[in-house]
Parts: sequence; C-alpha cells; structure tokens
Amino acid sequence: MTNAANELREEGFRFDVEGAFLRRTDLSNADLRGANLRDADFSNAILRGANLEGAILDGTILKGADLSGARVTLSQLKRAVLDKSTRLPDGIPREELSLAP
Amino acid sequence: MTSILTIVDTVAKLGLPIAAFIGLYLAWRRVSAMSMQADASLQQAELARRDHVAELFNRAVGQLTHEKLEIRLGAIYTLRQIARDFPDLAEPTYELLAAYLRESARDYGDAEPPIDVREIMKTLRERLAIR
Repeated sequence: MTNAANELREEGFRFDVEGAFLRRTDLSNADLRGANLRDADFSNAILRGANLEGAILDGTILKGADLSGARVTLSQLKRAVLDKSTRLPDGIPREELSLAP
Repeated sequence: MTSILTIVDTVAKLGLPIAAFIGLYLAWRRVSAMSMQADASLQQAELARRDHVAELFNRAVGQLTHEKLEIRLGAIYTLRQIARDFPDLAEPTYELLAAYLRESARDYGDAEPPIDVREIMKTLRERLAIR
C-alpha cells in the first residue's frame, strides 16, 4: 500500500479480500480507503457511496456493480473489469473505460 | 496538689485527640487493606474473563471452517460479539473474517451470497461504516 493510502486510514484494520468471491454483497457507504480488492469478484455488488480512495482495484470484477456516489478515480477503474451495466459515479466518463462484453 | 490536678487535666485533654487519631489511623489501614483486596479481586475477575474470551475466540476460529453451516454461523456470531465487546480484540477478529473470505471463497454463481458470507459482510460493515 502506498504511503498516501496508509495516511488515509487512521486505524489499523485494512480490508483485504484479494481474490475473494463476493458477488452481490453489500458494502454500501463503506470506508474502503486503502483496501485491497485485487482480483476479487464484486459482480452485481453494491458499493454505493463507498470511499475507495487509494484502494487497489487491479483485476477487480465490477460487472453490474453499483458504484454510484462512490469515491473512486478513473485510473483506479481503468484497472478493474467493468461492463455496460456497471453503475458509475458522477464525473467518471464511461467512454474512457474499456468495458468487458 | 494543684500541679497534679493540672497534669491530670492536661493528660485528659491530650489523650482524647490522640485516641481519636489512633482510631482514625487504624480505620484508614483497614479500609486501605480492603480496597487493595477489592482491586486484586477485580483484576482476577478481569483475567478470568479474558481467559474465557480467548477460549471462545480460539474455539470460533476452529469452527469457522467446519463443514456444517450452522456451526460456521455460530462461530461468526461469536466473533461478531467478541469484536463488539472487546475493542482490543476487534481488529484481529475483523482480519480473521476477511481472511475467511479470501481463503474460503466459494463460487456460488450469480445467486445471492450464502448466509455465512452475508453475515461476515454484515460484521465487517460495522467496522467499515463511514464515520
């Protein structure tokens, strides 16, 4: 985790679910700063309003996931796997993302 | 004769406060001893409670990978309660539950998550709620 991500979390627990199968789970309004979601499958999951600053989304499957209102950057999402049914937060240009079929 | 009476009178006047002081001192000693005893009892009770929680934690860890769903669920509920009641054990408890999600990830297809996954996520959401 980067120093910046470390600074984002004031306390010790770091949510690490690398590679986990978590389809249709609900993490709405969760504080996921600096979390490790690498290669996890969050298809159709609810991440509405979640704070994903500094979170690792490399290879994270977000097909059909609801990210509306989430705090996440375009560069983070470019590393994740999304499709046309993924609900993006405002301000993220869908056309700049390569969507999975 | 007068001087003897004066001495007796003086001793009587001084004796009362001295006796009172000694009485107070002895009472203070007694209260202190009782207080120390109560502290020791409290410490012993706290140690016994922590031993009990450590035992519950260890048992729950063992049951988390049990093949029967109801035993896994029992373990999850126990761990949730430990995380709520013992703040110093909360972080390892959450780490343990996240590890369970990583290591015991089962492909349940496009169905709703199984109840053990749902309950773990519910527990973790308590920790991850934006404050």
